[in-house]
Amino acid sequence: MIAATRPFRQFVIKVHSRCDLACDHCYVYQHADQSWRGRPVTMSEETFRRTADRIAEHAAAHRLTRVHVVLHGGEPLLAGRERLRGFARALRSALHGVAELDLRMQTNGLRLDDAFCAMLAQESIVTSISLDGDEASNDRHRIRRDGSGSYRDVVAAVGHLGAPAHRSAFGGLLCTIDVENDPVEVYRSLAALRPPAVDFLLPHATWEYPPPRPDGGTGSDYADWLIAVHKRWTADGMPMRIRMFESISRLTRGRGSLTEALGLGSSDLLVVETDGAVEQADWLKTAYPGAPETGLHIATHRLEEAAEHRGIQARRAGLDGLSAQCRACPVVSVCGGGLYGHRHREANGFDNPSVYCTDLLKIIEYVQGTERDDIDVRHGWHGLSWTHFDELAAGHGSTAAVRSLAAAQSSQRRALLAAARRADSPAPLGSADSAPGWEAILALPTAALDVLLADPYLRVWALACGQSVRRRAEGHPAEAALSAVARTGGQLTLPVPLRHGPEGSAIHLPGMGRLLLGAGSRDRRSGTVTVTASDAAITVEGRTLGRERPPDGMVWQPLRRLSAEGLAVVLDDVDPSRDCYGYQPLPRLPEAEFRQWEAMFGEAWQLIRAEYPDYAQGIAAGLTAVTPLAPEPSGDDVSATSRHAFAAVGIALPRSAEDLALLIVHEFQHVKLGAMLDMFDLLDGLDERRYPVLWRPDPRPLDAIVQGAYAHLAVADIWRLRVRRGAADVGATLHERSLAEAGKWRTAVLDALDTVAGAGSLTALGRRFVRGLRDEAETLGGVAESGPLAV
Amino acid sequence: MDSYEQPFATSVVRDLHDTSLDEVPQSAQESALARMLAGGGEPVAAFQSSL
Repeated sequence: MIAATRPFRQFVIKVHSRCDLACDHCYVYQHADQSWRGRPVTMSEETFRRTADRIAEHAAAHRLTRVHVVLHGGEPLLAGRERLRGFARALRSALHGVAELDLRMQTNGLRLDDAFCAMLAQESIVTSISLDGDEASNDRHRIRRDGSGSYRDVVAAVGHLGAPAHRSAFGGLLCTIDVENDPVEVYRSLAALRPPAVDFLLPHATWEYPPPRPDGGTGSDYADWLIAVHKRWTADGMPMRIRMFESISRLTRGRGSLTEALGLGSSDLLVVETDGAVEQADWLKTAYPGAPETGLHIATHRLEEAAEHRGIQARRAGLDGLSAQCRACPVVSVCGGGLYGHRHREANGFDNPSVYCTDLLKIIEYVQGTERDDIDVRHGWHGLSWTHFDELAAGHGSTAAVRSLAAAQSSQRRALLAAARRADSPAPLGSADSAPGWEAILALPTAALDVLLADPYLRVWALACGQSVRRRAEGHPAEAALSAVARTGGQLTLPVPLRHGPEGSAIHLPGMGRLLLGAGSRDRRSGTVTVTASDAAITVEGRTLGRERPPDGMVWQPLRRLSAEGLAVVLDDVDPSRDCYGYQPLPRLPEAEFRQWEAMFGEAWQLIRAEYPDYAQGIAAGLTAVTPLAPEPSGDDVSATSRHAFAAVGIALPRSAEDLALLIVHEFQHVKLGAMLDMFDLLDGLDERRYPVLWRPDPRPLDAIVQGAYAHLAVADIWRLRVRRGAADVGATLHERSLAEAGKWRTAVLDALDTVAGAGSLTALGRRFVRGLRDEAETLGGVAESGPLAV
Repeated sequence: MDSYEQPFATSVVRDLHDTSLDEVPQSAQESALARMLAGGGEPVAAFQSSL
């Protein structure tokens, strides 16, 4: 009963019911519902703890892997810094081992000082601030009780929160539109504060209390205002995310909305008031007194019970819950009828279009129109032709299709490298050691930068560096720049900070190799080694690595290549970022083991080319590195792929070339699909449910099921081809095994695809992808496979 | 028969191949980071009275 109910994933907790501003457009205090007058001023610790327990209980019952909680008010900062810290910890404690917590707060910012911001960063409370634009615009409504404006104090608060030490806790700015304000001035003043995101809110209104319009009519003032912002924002290169525009764009492409104000998505939000009352979204306060009430309380009711409330069910009805006018509208799937509260009319409740209908239609069609132009010229965004999309959906992918995936990966690596540089740069936290390396990267010619960006493990490193101010770039920029110059021509000399790992001090030149420094080396004591890239080679202390003996105490370990007809990949057993597979990577292989790899790889590649040409083309176009993994003591095959290491696979050398061929094909399926998932949302990311699959005992999330089906399908295809070779060719045992397993694995793949299709969470692109996959699966006869797979 | 009007499946990945590293928009950096860290998903903040 409980498990069948669609769960709630977002919880707004009202931690304080009063505010230190008196904004005249506030829906809590200035609109129809005045229930705040009877609430406790601050949520008690006992009520908060019960709320946290209820959320954890709900997350456990529905196996949610992540919940989103917003600390809200009134003004939540009035609850006090230490009380909020305690609330955050109580919530994390309740959810520990149950679900990941995305904790946010929305505030007017007045009480934010350095100490408060430090607490927010320490407790990972991502905080957004309400600000309506420049000083004149903001202070038109956002005023204190004495009538004085709040702008200057709020901007100071944004400065505290946006400082490098606290920026990880800066969520963005929330701006309520007043069409009397100059849209470009409002946009510029917000953009100048460098927020990571902004949203523009339509002021709450209903058909009884329509929004203010300068001419008093029913024009499209709000759309015109937003269009002016959109023009400036796109001309500026979209310097921050704007939630409304991004949601229109996503919904137009069949993806999920980022705001409940747009789209047909089901409501998954509950509010808990300071007294523990469970309510619907509190902007319903604008409709009529008591509109958000459910009659439930966290002390006496499970959260599932709220799902049965008529108001919540009405907001989960999708298209069927909209007015006839909305259902007939060409943009209904994007608009979704607008915010539910904006549809209210006393005579017929919510069975109306939004009071902003004209504005919504105009802004949606405007944004769609600008993006359609983009699509026509394919300007600014990566894409796949439908031919390539369908090739990949069927499990294969031509050279051109895989090169399109690689091009998108290169852009993503470029963005992540820029993010790593930004995270590494700001004084006073920036590392002086990395500065010359970054300068060298910035000066690289195009060809050298492209080579640098082709490094399959660059993203693993850049992601670790870019997401945390605690992880410094250290020697990597210098190493990467030197390697890129050495491989493309030119000259560069840099001091390179040493790395210190289990195999001693070293420098690592991506795509080239590793220089180990002995314990007595002078350079090891100084902490750097000066390296020159010139004439397609690397020189250290006057010795050219690979051509001359390295300086005393140093050992040069060049990367070795696995070469076969039509394919040459690097056997990467030195990259410090190669430990990304969930299996132990092997240390540098002795020469004898490399020779084993070389022989088996050549044989496996010939098999792939001869027997599985549909897969060979994509592998030849996209596979550039193989990292040897430690074998399992059980003797089971070990192979893996990292979503962050496109073009590389990790494999423990198996028993035979036949097995290696299968593992390469299998893992490269994951490589291709991972790159597609980087480009396209095939699934609604909000669906965190898990489903049984036939290849593992534990229920799996939908994205893992798609990954599993995609990779298993290729293995199925390989076994089908082996069966076709006949018992005389492959041997009776192998033939029997293939036949015995065929039906079982074909069923597993088709069953997984049924599960994915039946979950109702595929996007339009996802439906096309799964349809292609199913069409291919239905042509197969039978398959089998073994080996650990994290899908 | 599909009703796709565009000749391409347009992705969410900005084409930066002509963009120098110091000109990569911060929004592109942050959306790439967010997408990678979310394992393919985007941060969710659907309650419109917060961001």
